[in-house]
Amino acid sequence: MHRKPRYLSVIIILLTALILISLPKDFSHKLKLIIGGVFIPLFGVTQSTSQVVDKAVDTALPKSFLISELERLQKENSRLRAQYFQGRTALAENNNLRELLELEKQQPWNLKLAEVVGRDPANWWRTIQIDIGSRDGVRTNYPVLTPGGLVGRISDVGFNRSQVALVGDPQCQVAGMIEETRENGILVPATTDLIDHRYAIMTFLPGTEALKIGQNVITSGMGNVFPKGIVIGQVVDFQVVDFGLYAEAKIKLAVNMNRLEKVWVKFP
Amino acid sequence: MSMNGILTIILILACMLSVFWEASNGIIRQFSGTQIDILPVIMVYSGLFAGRRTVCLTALSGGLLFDSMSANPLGVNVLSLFLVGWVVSMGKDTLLKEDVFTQCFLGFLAGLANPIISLLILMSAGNIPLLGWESLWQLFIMAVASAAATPLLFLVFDKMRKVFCYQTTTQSSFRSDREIIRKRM
Repeated sequence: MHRKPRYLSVIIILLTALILISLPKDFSHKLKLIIGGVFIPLFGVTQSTSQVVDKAVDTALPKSFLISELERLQKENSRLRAQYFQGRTALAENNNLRELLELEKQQPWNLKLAEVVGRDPANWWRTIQIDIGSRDGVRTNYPVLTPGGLVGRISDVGFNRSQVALVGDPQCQVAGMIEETRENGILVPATTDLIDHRYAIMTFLPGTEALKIGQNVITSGMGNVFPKGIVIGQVVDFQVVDFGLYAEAKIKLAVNMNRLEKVWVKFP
Repeated sequence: MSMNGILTIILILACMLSVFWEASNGIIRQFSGTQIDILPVIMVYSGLFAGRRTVCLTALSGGLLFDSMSANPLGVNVLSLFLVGWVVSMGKDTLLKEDVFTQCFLGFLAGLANPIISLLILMSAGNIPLLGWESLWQLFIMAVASAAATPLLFLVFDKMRKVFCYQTTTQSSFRSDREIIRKRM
């Protein structure tokens, strides 16, 4: 009498877990997002609390500080306006030349700001949760970036939140290019730097002859996920692998993944 | 509602808050490069003080909530948490649950076993998690943090149990049929 229910509960839970693990990926993702919905009120409370705290801090700031900040922002604004006009002229020129060469026109980026609301609690993945989802038009594989550089790609979309696989996660392999030499490679996770999330490995590089520490790495545009030219990071180390068959470079990512608060999702 | 029912709700709420804290707070991750996990400690408590049904429900809810915020396939943590809770519940009658050293030791073992089991399940399901030599450091930090958190969480749960649950009556050794009645001969 005493033993039967003990093993019954074990069998039930084992079966439940095995069924859950073997569910089809799409269904499992949907189920995950439904279960994760439990946290929405908690995230809402956290966001509104931080907004209240921010407002309280803003009201407590001294007037002199606000004036100096205003002056600094005005200066920055005028500098950026000048850069914007310069960029707009260059873009028009570029489009004219593209038209002459019968190439496709470059479209301006359509970006949407999102707030980081959570991080992966497991230590063996590098993902974050953002507060926009399918209701905002987000789809899987949309690139995610900050003004500093590439962050990752959308790996999972829910109604009002999405999961982003960061650069350096096994789910986010990026086709990269050394800006100076135009050599192509693939960015994969750095298994030697699991504690510091600021590094990734660029592999399948043709050789080490042209590699130099400090060279910039950008997206190559191959694979059609990430547009060409987004900054990824800088080379900090390199070595020959597999008896000189190819080379690998250690890349320090341009974006500090530990301190992400707001990110931009690039729409097509 | 039965006493165990309230304890189950308390433990499930603790799981929810714990997963939310782990997902939204990165202070410890920034210091040590490791996110600590409180769920194994909750499983140790449920294994020692609650019934089998509570162990199952806590593992199910905690595991599902954890996996919903993670890139883990759904169900991976359910299995690992349940195994931790079930093994502890097997020895609940023999373990010194009030002793702080025992609590710390159980917390350490649970904090170490839970991620290892999760990783084994993940890899056997064909996933490739981020693993390297530094994973050993991460496992060590998780186990130590669990060991440190166990007595503290036991204190909190004991207080909550005292507040929300009624105490079981202790059986008296007095039996009226064996009473010795002294009287004058």
